[in-house]
Amino acid sequence: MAKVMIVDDAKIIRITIKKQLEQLGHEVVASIENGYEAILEYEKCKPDLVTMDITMPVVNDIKNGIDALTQIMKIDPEAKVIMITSHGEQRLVMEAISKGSKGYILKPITKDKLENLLLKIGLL
Amino acid sequence: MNYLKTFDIAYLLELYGENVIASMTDSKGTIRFVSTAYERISGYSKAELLGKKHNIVRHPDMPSSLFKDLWQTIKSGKVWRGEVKNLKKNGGFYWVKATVTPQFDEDKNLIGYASIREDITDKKEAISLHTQIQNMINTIEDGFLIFDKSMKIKDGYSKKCLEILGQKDITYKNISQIMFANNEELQETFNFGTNELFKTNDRYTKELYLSLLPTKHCIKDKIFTIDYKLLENDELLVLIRDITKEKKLEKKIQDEQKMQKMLLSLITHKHETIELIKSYRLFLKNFNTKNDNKKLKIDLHTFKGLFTQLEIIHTKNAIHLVEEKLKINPLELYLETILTEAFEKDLKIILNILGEDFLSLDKFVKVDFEQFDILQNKVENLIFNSTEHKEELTQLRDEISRLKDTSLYDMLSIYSITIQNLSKDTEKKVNPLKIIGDKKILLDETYKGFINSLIHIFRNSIVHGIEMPETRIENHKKENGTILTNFKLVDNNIVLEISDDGKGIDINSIKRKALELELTTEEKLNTFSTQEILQFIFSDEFSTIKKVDEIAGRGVGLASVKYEVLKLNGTIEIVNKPNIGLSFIFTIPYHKIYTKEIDVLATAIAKTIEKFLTDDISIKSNQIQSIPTIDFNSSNYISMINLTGTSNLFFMISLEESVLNKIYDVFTGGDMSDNELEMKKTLIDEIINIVIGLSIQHFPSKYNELTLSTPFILEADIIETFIKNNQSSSFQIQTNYGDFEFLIIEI
Repeated sequence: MAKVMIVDDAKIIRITIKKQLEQLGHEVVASIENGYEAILEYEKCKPDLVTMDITMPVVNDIKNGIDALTQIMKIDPEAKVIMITSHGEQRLVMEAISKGSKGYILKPITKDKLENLLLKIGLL
Repeated sequence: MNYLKTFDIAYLLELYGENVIASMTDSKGTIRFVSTAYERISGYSKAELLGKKHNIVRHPDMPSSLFKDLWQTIKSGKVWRGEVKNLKKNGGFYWVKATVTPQFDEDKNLIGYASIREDITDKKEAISLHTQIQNMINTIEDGFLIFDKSMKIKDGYSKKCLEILGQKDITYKNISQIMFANNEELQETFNFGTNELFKTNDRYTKELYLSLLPTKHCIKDKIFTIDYKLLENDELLVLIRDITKEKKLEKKIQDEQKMQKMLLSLITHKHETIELIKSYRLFLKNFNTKNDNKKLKIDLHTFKGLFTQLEIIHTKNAIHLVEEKLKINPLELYLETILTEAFEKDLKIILNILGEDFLSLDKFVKVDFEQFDILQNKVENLIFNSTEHKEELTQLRDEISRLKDTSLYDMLSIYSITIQNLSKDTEKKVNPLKIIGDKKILLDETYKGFINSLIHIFRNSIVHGIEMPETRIENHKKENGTILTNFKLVDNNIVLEISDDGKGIDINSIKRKALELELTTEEKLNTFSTQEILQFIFSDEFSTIKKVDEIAGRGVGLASVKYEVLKLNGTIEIVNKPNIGLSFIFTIPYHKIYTKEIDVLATAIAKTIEKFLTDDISIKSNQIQSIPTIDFNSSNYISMINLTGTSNLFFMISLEESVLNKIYDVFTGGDMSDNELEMKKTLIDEIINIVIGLSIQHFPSKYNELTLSTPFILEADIIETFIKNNQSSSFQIQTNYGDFEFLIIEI
């Protein structure tokens, strides 16, 4: 069972991922709306996994999920961060992976996709 | 030297014989010496070879030209070198790299030839295998190439690559420049992805990058998909599959459907078609005499709109192409050819299927219609050929073309007969219908529904408004009632007033009835203005009530009037003067039909939604159709977004619960029951974001720079106010799970 932090500005996505992760036997320890808060929260709850939306509103210089990812990787080089992404964001995802992201899920998010990815990064 | 002397010469010769494939012949080519190595490789013994001609080992695969060259060379006293395939005794073969040297005696007479050879059979086999594989690769229908971190394409790609990529040779060329030749953005993405891929040692991360590389592209007329496979030695195998044919087939089916649509539209709009074809012919005829580029562009755009409306696709596409070209290039002769060819193609289709007579004028049309066309053509000619008074002439042309539309005055005068008949039926006395208004105000057929619906207004006036003659006299009114229609143009709106001098509406009865029909609550009613209360008579409930009842009867059929008015983005105001009379004031935008940019925008969005439903939700859409704005169903789940910038757009989507449920299932995996309503509301906001996100790249240039608001939800009656007096377009996407509708309004 992993402790997971969800970062997404869309409530439906946060709720969706939370339910699906719980069904897979994980615990959601934080559900965050923007990248800036995610960085602060990461230090507090030290989750085993972060799901990070790529496009989110700009808060305090953190202009998207990649910025948040970069900061989190600085805090914890072992952090497991996966990106939540839409069509046409391939270039951004590549950047995220080069910054240390462990994988990505293309919207719409399904339990299968989550399960598959978690399996690959060794959290299932 | 001393050291050498210690060796037995015979031993040295044996050593030589064991390891060097050597032979010696006399000047005639008869074998006089062979080494042991020669015996071993050829399979013949010394006894079998000595005294024989050298061609005993000649392989039939070797061309005689090779031996001709060999003999010419050595006979002239020179050394010959070459690769030779020889025949073994057992029928097999071996390859040697041979050196043949002429031998001379002390007097320099040629006495024979000495040959030494190197066995190159393995090398030759390898090359031959390579050729075989290459031949095999070349027969594969897919493009097939390999590159490594140098980003250079390795030798040994399949020939098909050249065909798909439109190249002559791609060996050692940069893969990203070759594969994404016309797209720098893709090149950058590809370079970044592959660079990171080669940098990391982690197989999983490599696969992640692989999955993000571009998978589809087109170069010139070739459309292809791209698959990548990581090879063991850190090379990338690229598989390019040409899907142009499949796409073309798909397009052919679509074209067929489009053609059917076109024919249908032509039959229903015959007159417009004939006129459009005539004016376009004229336009093409004078195409190259045009020096006013701005005017030309405007004309092209207008024609494009008209052809789009009639679904005449080739011409429409050709105009679009020419428009695009004119953006960067000056007017050139070949542009006319593009237009003419497409137009001829369409005409041929039309005439083939609908018959040669289709474009000739309807037999029932008055003769002066033709004269009218001649007149119109003359004006068109004037416009194109004269340099002065262009603006006036264009205005004149527009006015002439309007002559063919029906005048509002004429349309309304039909009702004088209705009114006479109705007053007789009801034993009421009514003066002949008075119409005041400009006879030059003409309406096209889009207004017909509205004009036809006005019957209900007149009927209401006579049946419920105008009192019986006795009552009128008692109330000090003239015995004969009067119905007056009055219309004028105000700020490009037709303002039409229909009034009677009857008894008006008892507002308290409307209130009672509205409560009785449960259209509102007592509490709300108190906050309503008189106008708002009066508008209840347009509600469906008032309109369809069966029981003959003074007040309800007031509204019979009025819902359809309201419907027609909204369809034209108009408004209705009721002026009620109890016991003096009642007026309906209609304000309707006055227009000529043009394809609006907003329709292009809406079409792009409709296509995106269809793709989203198919690709992401696995729902097939059965039908996509443009619907009247007023039919936009706002009673379902609805979300709205405001896009501001170069334009101010309100975009809203409305989903039937069943289709939303399906999307909800796909998004959430199904089994989530708590707080479902709240979730669905958030979901529909997410959907509107996805739809705009996916379609924004297809927006017409006018809508290029737009920023999105956060989605919000509107009350249905507020939407009505938005629709009024604004450009709007609405679509319905029908699926097995229910309808997905959207409405877009430009303010």
